[in-house]
Amino acid sequence: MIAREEIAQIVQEFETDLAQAGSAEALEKIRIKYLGRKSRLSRMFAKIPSLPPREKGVLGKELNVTKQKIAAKLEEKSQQNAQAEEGMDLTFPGEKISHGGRHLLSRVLEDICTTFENLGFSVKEGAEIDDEWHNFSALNIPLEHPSRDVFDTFYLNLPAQGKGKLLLRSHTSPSQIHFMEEASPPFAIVSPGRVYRPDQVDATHSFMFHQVEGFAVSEHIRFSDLKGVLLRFAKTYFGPGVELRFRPHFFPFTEPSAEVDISCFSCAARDSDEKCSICKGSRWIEILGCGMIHPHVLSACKIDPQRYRGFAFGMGVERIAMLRYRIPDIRLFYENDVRFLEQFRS
Amino acid sequence: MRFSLNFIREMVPVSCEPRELARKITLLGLEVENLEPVGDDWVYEVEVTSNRYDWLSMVGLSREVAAALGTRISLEYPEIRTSPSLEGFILRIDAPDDCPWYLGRRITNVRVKESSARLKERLLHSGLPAVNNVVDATNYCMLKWGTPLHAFDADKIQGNVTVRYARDRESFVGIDGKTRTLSSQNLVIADAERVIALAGVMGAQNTEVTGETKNVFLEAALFAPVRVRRSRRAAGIESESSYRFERSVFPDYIEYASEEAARIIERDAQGEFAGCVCAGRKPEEGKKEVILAGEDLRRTLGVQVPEEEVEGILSSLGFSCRRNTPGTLTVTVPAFRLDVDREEDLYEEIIRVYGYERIPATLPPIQPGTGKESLYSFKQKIRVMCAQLGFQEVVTYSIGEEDSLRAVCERDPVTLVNPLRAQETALRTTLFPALLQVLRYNRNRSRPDLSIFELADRYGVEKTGFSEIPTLAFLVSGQREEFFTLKGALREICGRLNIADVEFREITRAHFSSALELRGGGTVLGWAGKAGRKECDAQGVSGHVFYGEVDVEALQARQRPLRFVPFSQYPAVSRDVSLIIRPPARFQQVRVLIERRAGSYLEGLLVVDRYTGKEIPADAQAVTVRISYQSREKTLTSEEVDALHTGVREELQNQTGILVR
Ligand SMILES: [Zn+2]
Repeated sequence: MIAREEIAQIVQEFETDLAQAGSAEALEKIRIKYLGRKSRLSRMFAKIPSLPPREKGVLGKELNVTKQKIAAKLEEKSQQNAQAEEGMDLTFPGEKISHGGRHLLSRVLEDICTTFENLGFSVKEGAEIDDEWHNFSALNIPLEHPSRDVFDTFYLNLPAQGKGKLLLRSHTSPSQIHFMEEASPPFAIVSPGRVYRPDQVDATHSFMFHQVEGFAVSEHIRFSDLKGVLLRFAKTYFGPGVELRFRPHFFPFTEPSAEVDISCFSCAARDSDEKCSICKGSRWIEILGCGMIHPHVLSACKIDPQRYRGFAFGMGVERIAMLRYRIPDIRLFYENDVRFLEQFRS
Repeated sequence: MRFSLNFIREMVPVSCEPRELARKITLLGLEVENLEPVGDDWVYEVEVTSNRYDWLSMVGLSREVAAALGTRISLEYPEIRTSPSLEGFILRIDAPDDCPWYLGRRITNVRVKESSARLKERLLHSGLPAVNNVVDATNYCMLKWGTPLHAFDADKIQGNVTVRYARDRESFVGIDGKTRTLSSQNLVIADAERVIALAGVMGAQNTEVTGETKNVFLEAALFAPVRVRRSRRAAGIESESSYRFERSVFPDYIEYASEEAARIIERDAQGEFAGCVCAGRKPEEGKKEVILAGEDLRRTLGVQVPEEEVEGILSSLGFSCRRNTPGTLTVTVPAFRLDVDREEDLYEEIIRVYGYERIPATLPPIQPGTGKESLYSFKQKIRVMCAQLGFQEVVTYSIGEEDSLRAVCERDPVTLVNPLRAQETALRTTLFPALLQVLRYNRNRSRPDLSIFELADRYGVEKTGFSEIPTLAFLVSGQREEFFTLKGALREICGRLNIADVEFREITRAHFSSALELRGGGTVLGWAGKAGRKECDAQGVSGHVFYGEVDVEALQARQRPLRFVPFSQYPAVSRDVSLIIRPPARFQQVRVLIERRAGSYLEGLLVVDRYTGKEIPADAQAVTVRISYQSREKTLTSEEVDALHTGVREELQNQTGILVR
């Protein structure tokens, strides 16, 4: 065979082998096969001395060029392989990481309490089974009075004790009484927890819901402090842009009393004439009730109303969560549909 | 409460736009919940708080509107006729505590027909139906003065009239046509024969004014709020009349209302005034004076309201002020403000007119708490821990169904006296049914596997009364092995709280096919187990369900501060041993043996493989245990490890029920 044809054949075989070589070992085998001491090219080099002088130079040069070309191609392929091994297709989807989480109500409750804790309040929970004295009488709510009607109550089949019939507390305000019976001022407390009222269940009513009660008593507490505390809470919890409106109201356990509205964050966000569904066009949303603790309540807890003053406030946790997270139906909190729970994991 | 702007305009000129008026009275505490134009009138729907009985009358509302607009009401008081007395008619009060005063008027020869358009509009726009010119006159005056009246057909009254308590099982048919059985709780108006009205609540059908009525007996009386409340609750009726009596009526207006109603009937029904009768007497209202100290006002509100402004506000609301010693005012409360008794009530009157928005916002100097971990913060810590361990928190109702609670828990539940629905009759003794319900709910929505927890109270009847115990409950469902997820989580929680001597003991527990007790710090902390098939089937739940409850206060009491525990500097070497364990042998024995034999060289042990199936007996389990050996003093040589391991194997081999492979 003519030397030139043989070289062409070697190069062609080399190209075929190289194309199939995937690993570093395969490349090494090819290197040995085409450039090793026993390779055909080496054997052709070995024949050069026996050739006529004119052919010697030409073939020698051709063999050298071929050898360099093969070496270069091997190197290139080896680098390509190395790169393919390190690189990855990152466009595949991420894995679904499913860990646990807290219920949205836990988080909202904690967020509310933390806001007050940062102002120096301590958190103290109260019991859910209570008696008429703590739930009503001590809070200046006479048992047979229309002011009781808003606090419709579940009674329990348990023998009545010295403090009246036993019941499921219908608000968190009895926590105030329990705490004040034991402690002496000054103090500032928030008390979260479950409360119960026999209300027909619908999109905005539930026979069980959560409240946070707050109260502070000292020789120097004023209504302006209540305003400051609630304003700080509203701005921390709903955003620095919100404003508060205090409307006079009546609660048996506070005097003076007020209901507090926040400026509608939904109206503030959009400027449209269409009636806002959150505040129903009034631009204000009621979020809590508050006031200066009634002297009768302080007296009931053996705290001198001449010397001490206090404020108290109470809010519904579900209502606040529904406003903040735009939840349309209170029942979603208690159905525990995983698709709901997973939206608010924390 | 609904009111019509045109009605108000009879007593006070309203200069401002209706919507602006709504805003103004809302900020005074009379919250307008709805406002609608009706013809040339506006109808306001307002929330009347239970202390403001006077806002249940147009006169009272007009006073508020006048205060909002900085003007006064003009009220015409009718001239009261006290004669002639009705001859031969005896009116007797047998219950003077609950009816101190009763006033009757007789109007004869009336022509009962439709009322005038104006009168009907006043009623309809305030949410009352128009009936006839006699009844409408009484309702109109009730709306105006806030004092309920009642008109009887005088010819149907048999003999004399008595105000007395009902006899037991006495029957009463109201003008609504319904029959009710009364008791001594009910105060009634009766003639010689029967009950003719449930006092302060509703008239009886037997003396109702109809188209044929010729002579009218008009009742105006004062009934005690608590009596009316008890009576209407016992009878199960609520009426415009009882609503007002329960919240108090102003005695002075009883005469005016009675007189005005009589005059309207005389005018519109062409009746003739035949005379009046009276029993008891109007209670004497003492003059109420309250001393108001400017300094106390400032100390309570945190704003200095100038004395002149205080006087201006109070007088606009009908109070009169007399300057006392410097800085104090003697305030005379108007007789119609039955709700104002003390200084704090005046503060509210002052501030609601002055404006809450004019009080600055300040922050109180608050003493920080003690820093002791509260149960609340401990619970929050546990919640975060459970979430980190892969459990999803749920919130379920504390009230469950008594029978389904008894079906899974031996403890007696506290039951409700007045349950709302059949599925919520008792406080839960265990959270199990509620969590099972969450599982069923989500399975029905293609979410078969759940790992959930809830932290809430469980309750029970005790010898001493009742208990309310904060409880951490877990429910895991899916594969058989998932029990060990739950068990692992419990161990991990105890570990993170550094509770001493944590161990699990096999126990039998009713309604669970197998169960473990969790102990730590020398006490029982909780339990966990596999729910019984029957209990799950009863709830319509298939497959394995694992459930556990931990006492949160016990956990908190047993937790200890974390302390660094030194670990060995030398490598650990592990060896596997494969076993077949057959009952009555338990894995627990394997663990105890290994721990005893390897002693201080045991770094840890791990079950790396567990198998039940064809090649081994049906009740047996094949397991591979990986034992890690380690010394605190040196690197163990391969020979030393082999010697230890051989010892362990031999020890295991000697146990009945355990086969080393
Ligand atoms: Zn809005």
